[in-house]
Amino acid sequence: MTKVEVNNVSKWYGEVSALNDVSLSIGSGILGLLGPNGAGKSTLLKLMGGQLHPSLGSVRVLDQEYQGNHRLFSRIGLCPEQDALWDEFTGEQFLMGMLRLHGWQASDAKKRVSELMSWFQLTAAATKRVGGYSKGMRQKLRIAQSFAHRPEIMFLDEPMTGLDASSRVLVSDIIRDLGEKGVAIVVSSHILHEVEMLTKEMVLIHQGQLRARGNVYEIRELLTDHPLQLDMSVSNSRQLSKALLDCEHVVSVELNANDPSKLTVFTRHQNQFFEDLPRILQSEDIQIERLYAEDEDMESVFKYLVH
Amino acid sequence: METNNHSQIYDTGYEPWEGDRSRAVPAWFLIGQSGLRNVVAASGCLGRTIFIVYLVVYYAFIVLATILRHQATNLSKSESLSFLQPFAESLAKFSEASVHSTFIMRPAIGFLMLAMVFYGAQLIAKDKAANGLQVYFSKALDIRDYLLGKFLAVGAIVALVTLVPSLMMIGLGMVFTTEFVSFMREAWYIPLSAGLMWATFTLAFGSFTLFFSSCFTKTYMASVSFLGFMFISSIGSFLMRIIFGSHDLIAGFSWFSSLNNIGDALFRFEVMSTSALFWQCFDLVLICTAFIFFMFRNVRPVEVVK
Repeated sequence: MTKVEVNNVSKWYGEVSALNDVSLSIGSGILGLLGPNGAGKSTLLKLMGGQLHPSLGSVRVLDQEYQGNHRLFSRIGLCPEQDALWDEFTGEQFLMGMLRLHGWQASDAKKRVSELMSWFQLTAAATKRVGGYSKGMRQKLRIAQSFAHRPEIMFLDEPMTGLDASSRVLVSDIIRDLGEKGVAIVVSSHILHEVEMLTKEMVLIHQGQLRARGNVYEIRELLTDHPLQLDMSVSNSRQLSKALLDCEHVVSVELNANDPSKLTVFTRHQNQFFEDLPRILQSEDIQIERLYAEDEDMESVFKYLVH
Repeated sequence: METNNHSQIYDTGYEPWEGDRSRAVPAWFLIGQSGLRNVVAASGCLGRTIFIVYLVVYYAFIVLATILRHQATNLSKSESLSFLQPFAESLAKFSEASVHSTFIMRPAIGFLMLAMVFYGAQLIAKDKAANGLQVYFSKALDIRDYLLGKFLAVGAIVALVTLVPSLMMIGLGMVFTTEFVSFMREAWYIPLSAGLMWATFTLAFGSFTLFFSSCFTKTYMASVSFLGFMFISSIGSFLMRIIFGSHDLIAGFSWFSSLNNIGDALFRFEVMSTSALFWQCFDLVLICTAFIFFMFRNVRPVEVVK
């Protein structure tokens, strides 16, 4: 079921174009929104979260529009990128206030705040002023307020910023748990492994335009202009390279001058390669020791797409 | 990475949305409450102490003066308190409306100037500085709820020096008066006048302060601008009268005299000039409307990069 529908949306700030004719539909689960700084991720997130209005096009959330429909905000959660807390409140007071703005009764809100503080390991600091919180604690509190009211959709802008390693694992687990339970979550980041920790489904955005969408492997498959690089260690590298060069999808093969067992293969079609490889190995009676896709990760995919 | 390898402790207990939540308390009330709590907490111990001491002394004076005024004739019966009789008799000569006007309205303008500089000017600027507008406007409320809440916070401050002392004076008067019927005949409309004065002061001080507060993310800039506006409007009105001659339209831009005159009209039904009062009310409504209009434009969930 589609929860967020972005239709041909453009957004300008004066003469600067932040987004250009973006269309996107989002269902349940986690979706990574990736792009370098200034790509338009935050603008897209704010448009989807009802913080901005598009210059052109439309955004529909849960089959409704934001305009004049502020009750819709009870069904979404937003974690902004920038620090957005009042230093004078305690963590508990802050979350209570946010929940009550969504219509929660004080008694229900109190119970919920206690749960949230426990999950985010902030119980000891619950009654302390937010002004005394560390950067990581502030970030956890921001994330907590975004899903405290049990929204159906969450927009998280750079949620891992300022978190230490253990807090990242904690927050990742919480976000994944929500995703598995059917909440639609859009996570924006310019740091690729942060998104990889959460999901393989992603949207790549650059210079205000969507460049690709899908599973990281599927996106890699689309990149026929940029051959996939595979490093291999085999029992007979020369024999294998000869057999592989007969395949149409293999662009080139490089033998390692220092180690005769190693070779690097460049192929345009990953799936075809992995279908052909077992057959070749069997027919040529070659043993394989190691196979590693050098640029299968998001970092390389991302580089290809934006340059 | 596998997605199901996390332990039970991280189970968020998520439950799907269960339809519309009926709001327990209106959003504007929550905004007003948290805004007031936030600025009071931020004002520091010294600031809070000064305001509390001022109010305690002021209320004590109101209580004492009201009791003395109504018990002027009985003071001679007590030897120890007879020295207060001349003071009490001079107070008793004034009408209820005059006492309200003198004891409440004039001190209120001075107090509110200070309170708006220290507290009022922070109400929106602090939210903007903290990126709080983004968080607020991701909740189920709209800009009208937000601004109404901020006016409520201003209204609560205004009530401390208008409604509260007025009701104290009426309540104490009912208890201590020796002529209940004539007191009630004289004072029946005073709560209504005090209410109207509270509304006028809340609208005026709220519009002026909140407008400047909505223009800045630095609270001291909002305070300085508010003070500057009040000062320049008085000086400007004076200069314009010298240049263009005395006209009620121009006189209306001096807020101190406008608020004083409107207050006098509300309490005493004494109007020095109907034309002047009309133009003062007209100018006040005009400026407040303009400020509220621009406030709506200024209050947007714009991110402040830190």
